[in-house]
Amino acid sequence: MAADLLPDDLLADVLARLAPRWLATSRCVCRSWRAAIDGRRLLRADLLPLSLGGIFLGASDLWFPPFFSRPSSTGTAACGGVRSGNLTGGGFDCFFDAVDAAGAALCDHCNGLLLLYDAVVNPDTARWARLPRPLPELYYRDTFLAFDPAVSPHYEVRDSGRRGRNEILCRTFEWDEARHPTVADIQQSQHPSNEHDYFNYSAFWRGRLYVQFRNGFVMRINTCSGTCHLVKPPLMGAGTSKYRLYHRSEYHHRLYLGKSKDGVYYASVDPYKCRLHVWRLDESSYGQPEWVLRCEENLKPLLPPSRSHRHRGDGPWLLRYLDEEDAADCDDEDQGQLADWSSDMEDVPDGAGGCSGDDDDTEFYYSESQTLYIHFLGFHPFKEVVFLHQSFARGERGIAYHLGCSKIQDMGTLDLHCSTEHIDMSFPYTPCLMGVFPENN
Amino acid sequence: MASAGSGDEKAAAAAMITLISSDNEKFEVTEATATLSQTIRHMIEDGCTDGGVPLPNVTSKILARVIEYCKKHATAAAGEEGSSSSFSDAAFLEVDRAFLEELEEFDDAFLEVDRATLFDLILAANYLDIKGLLNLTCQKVADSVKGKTPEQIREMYNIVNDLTPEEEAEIRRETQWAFE
Repeated sequence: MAADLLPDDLLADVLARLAPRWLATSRCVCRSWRAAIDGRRLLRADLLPLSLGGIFLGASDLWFPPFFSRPSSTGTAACGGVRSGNLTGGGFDCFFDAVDAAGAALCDHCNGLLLLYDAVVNPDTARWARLPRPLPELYYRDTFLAFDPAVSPHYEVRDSGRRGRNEILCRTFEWDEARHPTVADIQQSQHPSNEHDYFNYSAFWRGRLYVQFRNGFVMRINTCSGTCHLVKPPLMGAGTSKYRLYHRSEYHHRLYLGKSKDGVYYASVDPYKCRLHVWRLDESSYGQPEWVLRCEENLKPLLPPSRSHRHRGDGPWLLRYLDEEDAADCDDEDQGQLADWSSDMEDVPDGAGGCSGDDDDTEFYYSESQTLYIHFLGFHPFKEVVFLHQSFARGERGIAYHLGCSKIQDMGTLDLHCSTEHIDMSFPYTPCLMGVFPENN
Repeated sequence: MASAGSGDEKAAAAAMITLISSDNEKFEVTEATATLSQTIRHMIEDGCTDGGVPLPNVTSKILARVIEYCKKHATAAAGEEGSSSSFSDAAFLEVDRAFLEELEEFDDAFLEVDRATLFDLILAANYLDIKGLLNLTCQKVADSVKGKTPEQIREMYNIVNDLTPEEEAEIRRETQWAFE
């Protein structure tokens, strides 16, 4: 009888205290609850990170992270928000203050927040906060953000806790010793020599932070209780009884963790053979969570051949440097063509990609159009699409592979300014427009 | 309306206010306690509290609880004011902290009531315009909704689902991210 017991305005007073996720549930209780929420516009789902804005790229030698996205006039893409600079008045400078002060070393992204070396930044609202202390330089690649504005305005910066050196962050962890593999297994299987070879990714899903180890194990950290659980790596190939660990020799055959449509996913790319494996973490049973193979594909026949070496903006997606003033201008002539596209990969246009092999640039020499290798860029956070980086003798392209229909879309050039620059990490970015910067207590 | 010839009496009882519940029960409270209610504060300022303040929207059972809350928080407020000058900073902070903790414990215990009482308290807090109490009770209800499914919320508060299956499906579709 709650609906009858409380008049409309008091019911709204109660509901206004709820986080977006519980507001959404409350809309489904009865008509008067829905009316109380909708009438006052209490639920602002439009501010939540529920769309893909683009991909932030971390590149060596670069002070500002390049941003790969579909050019947007709505200003929802990160560059739009940052570059317009008038959202919060001087917000543009604010973002660069953060980058200047913190260094642009990207450490992690979670639901619209970027973790830099010693700051947390929301590029779309151009707000940032310095961490209480900088991350230890050597370990910053093992530090992760946990943030879900649909549930709580607070974010957490977490260490994977593997080394046990960062005691403050580690102390809250309780290892679930009863389950195997044990912590000792993990520690033994780590190879100190390749500790900083490459980047470790994380995923945040339903209040749990999933952190990837170099050997393929994943630690699932419940951010509320602080309890941890180790998840074995996926089995490679049938009949393999041992978990294959990812050592230095297999550097190029590594695993990528990420959040996508149905939860947490793992991808493995063989860069030269162009083979892609994707697994989804099945946590439906109460027992040990398991990786379920979602796709195993030889991408080679599907890969689009090289286009001629064109300028930036030749594809639907555009590579931009955040410190560039004129970046958005170079796609003017292609506006008509771009209008059909979205960063969200809503549709797979017919004839997209190179599946048919009759691309208009096939007259180029085979040697130039041959794919040298592919790398993984990230998972689409809401669709079963993976983003890849395709490298040719001349030029780099971003491509999107749709797991459901095995189609590939060309996104655009990924040629960076200097030949010495290379992409060493990437984060699909979901803009969060919530005005209040999530301050931790 | 001050009645003639009661001057002495008035002075002695200046700080006392009589509150009259809907079922005609009378409660004597200090002015400090009563003025936690903005509604009553305005009545006192307007000088219309002589002969008691009738509160036709509040039963004696609920009014007793509301007064219990106001007494505690009025004491807390007075304590804060009184102590600020007579302690060193550190000692003051210590006292302050203990005070706040005690107050928090009181609030927690105060909210251990059945749901009907909780809603009556919200209505009373709203009517009497007692910000702290309204905040406390509304938050309690909000916390009880947090993390629950629509079905659980309906069961908890005896709410009849008057949404059609189509409407419900549409709501779930609109905010699919919340139902994953």
